[in-house]
Amino acid sequence: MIKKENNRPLSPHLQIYKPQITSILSISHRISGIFLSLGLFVMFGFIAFLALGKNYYVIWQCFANSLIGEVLFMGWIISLFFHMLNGIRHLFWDYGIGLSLNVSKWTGIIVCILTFVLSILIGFNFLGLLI
Amino acid sequence: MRSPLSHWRLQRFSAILLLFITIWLVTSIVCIKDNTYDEIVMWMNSPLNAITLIAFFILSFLHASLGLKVIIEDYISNSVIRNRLIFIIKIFSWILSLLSIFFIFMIVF
Repeated sequence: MIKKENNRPLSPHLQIYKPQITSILSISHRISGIFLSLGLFVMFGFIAFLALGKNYYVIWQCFANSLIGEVLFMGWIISLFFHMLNGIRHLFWDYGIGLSLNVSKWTGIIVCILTFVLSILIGFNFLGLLI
Repeated sequence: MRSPLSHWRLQRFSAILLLFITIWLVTSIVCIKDNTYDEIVMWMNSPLNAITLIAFFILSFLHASLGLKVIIEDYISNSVIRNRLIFIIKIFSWILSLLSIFFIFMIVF
């Protein structure tokens, strides 16, 4: 059983590829996914502190208002929008739409631009720098 | 052990639902981010908000554990470590999603 499993091919590791927008976005999807899993854990922390009462909620507020907290939140906002938009791209691929090299390159560029715009709009609003 | 097909389906199913729920969540958070403790608790006392938040946690932990499983399968070649990690993540996501439901009920009632 184990012997059989060891013969199975692994995914080609990153160094093998020449960086292209499609491959960069593909690995970014995974990296943002891992980072968002961490964010989900912090969201869980928020609910936990909220449930424990006002005294514990102060601890959460200290974290959320700190510089580390704000940098992390900004990172999660960027990751969230990127993962969401690129995820929509993936869902279309599942139906066989937009798989050609040219189209996938352009949808990739659109995902990057929209991520940038949405992150600035929502992110700055979050940090109180806008509106 | 889940079949690869149901893994694939669950990943897409949770993705589509999360797409809508996350848009709702981001707009809500932007609206209530400066609110006090009492105001946030009041916001969660609305049944629609509480139910959607529970759905968000269940689907997110499911989506995250399915996604992390694929990444681990792709990049960790040692089968013992790989299977152990996948098991830990699965248990962890189950416990945390159940706990988050419990916490939300604690806030609401």
